[in-house]
Parts: sequence; C-alpha cells; structure tokens
Amino acid sequence: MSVENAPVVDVDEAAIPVEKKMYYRFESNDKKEFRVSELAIQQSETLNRLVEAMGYTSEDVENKPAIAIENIDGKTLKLVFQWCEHHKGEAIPVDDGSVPKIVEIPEFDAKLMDIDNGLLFKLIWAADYLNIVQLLNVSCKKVANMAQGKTPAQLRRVYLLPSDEEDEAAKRAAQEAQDPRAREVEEEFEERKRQGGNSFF
Amino acid sequence: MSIPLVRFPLLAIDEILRNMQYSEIFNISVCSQRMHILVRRIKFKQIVKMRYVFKAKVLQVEVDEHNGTRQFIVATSFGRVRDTTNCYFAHNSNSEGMVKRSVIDHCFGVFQRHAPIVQLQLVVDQDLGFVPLLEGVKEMYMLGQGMSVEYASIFYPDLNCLRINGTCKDGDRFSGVDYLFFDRAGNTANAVLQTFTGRYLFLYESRRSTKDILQFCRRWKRNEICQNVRFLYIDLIDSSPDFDPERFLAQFETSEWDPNVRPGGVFDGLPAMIDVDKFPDVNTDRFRDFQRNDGKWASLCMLDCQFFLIAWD
Repeated sequence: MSVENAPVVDVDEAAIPVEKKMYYRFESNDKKEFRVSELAIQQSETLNRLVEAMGYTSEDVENKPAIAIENIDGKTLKLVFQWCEHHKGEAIPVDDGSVPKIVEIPEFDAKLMDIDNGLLFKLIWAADYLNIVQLLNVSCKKVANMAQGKTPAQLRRVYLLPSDEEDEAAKRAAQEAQDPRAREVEEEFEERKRQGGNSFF
Repeated sequence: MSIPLVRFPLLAIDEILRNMQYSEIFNISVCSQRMHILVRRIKFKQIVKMRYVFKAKVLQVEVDEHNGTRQFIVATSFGRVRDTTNCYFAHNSNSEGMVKRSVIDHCFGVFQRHAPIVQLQLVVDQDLGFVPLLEGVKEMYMLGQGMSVEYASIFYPDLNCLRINGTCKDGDRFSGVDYLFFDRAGNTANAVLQTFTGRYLFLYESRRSTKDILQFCRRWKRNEICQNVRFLYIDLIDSSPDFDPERFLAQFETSEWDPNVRPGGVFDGLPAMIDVDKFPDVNTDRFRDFQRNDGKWASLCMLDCQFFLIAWD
C-alpha cells in the first residue's frame, strides 16, 4: 500500500508517553549538589561515560546518592555545568589535526569566564579532567589572549614562568623528595664541608 | 593579573600555545628551556612557507599559511637606536652575527621544521658575511643594484624559484631553476634564453630585439631550445619603431586561440614572489596557437614590447 492510500488514524497526542527528561545529581568536593540534564552531560566525555556505565534509571537518580566529583569544588563545578547546560545538544568538535583550529569565544562564554585567574585556572583543570573539548578550547583561548603584545619579560610575569635556574632547583627538590636518602647524603656532605673536611670518605 | 602556565595540564598548555600569534610563541619560547621544549611539541600544520628577510641591518622572519595569510614572527635590527616592541628587538652591532644565527636556529627549531618551503629575501648590496647560511632554502629573492649572483649559485644551488631584482651578469648560472624571474634582465636575457631548462621564465627589461625573438621562436619550434618551458615572458626595453606584431606572427603557421581547447590555470601554484597581476588575460584571442615539430602545442602573443609563450602540457 502506498503512503497516499494508507488509512488516516486520529491520534490522541496526550496519550503518547513522553520520555521524561533525566537530571543527574552530582556533588562537588565541598559537598555542593548540582542537577544536570542528560543532554548537558553529553558535553563531557568523562561524565557521559560514567553515567552510561552506571546505567541509572530515573528512580536511581532520585534515590541513590549524588555522584561525587572528588577533585572539583562547587564554585568551579557550577561554572562547568552552566556552560554544559547552555551548550547542550551542540556538536562536539573533533580535532583530527587536518584543519587548523580557529577558536572564537562566544558572548555567553566570555561572560561566564569573566572571573579571576584563580577560578579560570580551576575551570581549565576541570574542563580537562571532565574532557569537555569546547570548554577547554575557549578557556585556553582566553589564557592565550593574555599574551597579546607582550615582550618575553612581560610574558614571564603574566604566565609566572620560572627561569631556567628556578626550574633546575625545582627539579632537584623533586628528586630529593623522591629519594630522601639523597637528601641525607647531601646534608651530610654540606655539614662535613662546613667542618672543614676535604673528603666525604 | 597572572596565571601559572606551566602548572596547567599538558593538553591545555598545547591548546594555549596553539592559540597564540607566532610572535608571541617566539617570545614565550625564549623565556626558558622548558618553554622552548613545550613550544617545540606544537605542530604548526598551517605553515606552508618560512621567509627570512635580510635587509640592511634588519633580519625579519615571517610565515605564510595555507589560507594565504602572511604572519610576522620576529625582527631584529643592529646598531641603530630604534624603539623596540614586543616583536622588534634592537641589538648591538658587535653581536650581529651571533644574534642572527641564534634567531634563525631558534625559528628553525620551532617553526621551520613544519614548513615545506623556505624563502630567503636578500638585499645583496650589504655585507653578506653577516648573512648566515640557511637550511632548506628553495626560494630566493635577491634585491640590489648591480648584483653578483655568485652568492646564490654557490650557497643555494638547489633553488626551485629565484627572482633577481637588479642588473646582473651570469644569469645563466640558474638555467635549471624551475621558476626564474629577472626584473632587469638586460644583456643577460640572451644567455638565459639559450640555456633555460626550467618551466617558468620571466625576462623583464631585456635588451633583445624582435629579431631575436623571431629567432627564438624558430628554434623552439625545432625543439632546440627551452624544451621544458611552460610559460615564457619577455619584456623588451626597446622595440623597433616599425615593428608590426601581425607581421611577426604571420611568419609562423598559427591558428586561432581556442579557449575551449586550451585549458587555463597556467599561473596556478606560482610562487607568490612572482607577480603576474599586471599581465594581460592570457585567455583571449590575442594569442595564436602554433605547434612544435614534435607535436607539442603552444600559444603565443606578441604585443609592442611584450612576448608571451605558453606551452601546453
């Protein structure tokens, strides 16, 4: 039977079951709770996989404890979920490296990121941890923009770049922290030098 | 307001660096060894060409991108007091050689390894002792008065494109260069014409006569000369007052230009330093088709002081 000849059936639209939107509950490391739509969660690859693996039903979402996100605080998580809700349903950019990426910061994102650098720092860590590609792109663009028109000396100040000497000192400290015996030997050596001994042995 | 760049996750550092301008990337890469290493991780796939410009006491480095835009990386000047900016640095003349070498090596490590083409622009009137040798140069643009092309032929024998903007002798040293452009060919035009084995040849201000061009056409027809040429342009300094282009063309067996048969795109992929904007449209009936003895077709056009030949692949 062709489509044109098919019988016309009156449909009671109210009778069609509407799929209920699911809102997941998340908890930050400072015990702040957030309800986030399923569609918004899709912006985060990490969270999307997590909720898929959990296989929660609508009842589970309400009855079970909120999903804990241990290493992100409430203030940062609020920004992350605001961003996800605003951009829910948008395609996630795929960077295969074939075309140079051009990142524009939309107005909403610019307003959202009108925050102090401490919070911006945390936001980038959160976007990286939760694998939210586009949020990472725009927040990194904002940090990159801070370099505009700066000399190397100014860049050092803006990005708090350690000098070679500072890097070297930090590296030594890290090595010593890994191997406490090395530090003891170093201290003993310094002590003997102070006492006027020429040889360590 | 500051933010600790090196404390970001590596993926974010890459992303931040990728979003900076080239001059900012250069500046940040000189801040420390660690930043240099971080910058070298970035693949600049959009770069198609690196350009080093040596002009008087200034070295300037630029890049061309796939989309045709030209971006500035850094400039250094020597021995002159001049305001420095975030990407323009002044140095003492005593350190000229060392600074130039360092800037080039640094740019090579960060950017050039991603660029398939390296172009060198050089004013040859200066002391070339302060021009370090560059790796991978395929295009060269020489400017200056009465230049010796020996420098280019000795140090850069594998050029693919060369433009010489100045009167020179020994132009035929570059007969094998694919794209060869003389702004003031003068008397060297004849030697170049006799020996050219590349594909595109531009001879501006040639000191030749229309008789010479007629002779050239006959030899080309017999496949004795410029066998590989795809496009030839000769601009004559003087033409004979009684020269008649129609009579010139009548000396060959030619047929009418047929744009449907002869494909266009003769200038596609031409290096940007070769300027063809002022040329008349080659796809017109001013051109006549004629055939070489081996069957290859060409189209030619003779105006008062200009001669064009397009050999079809």
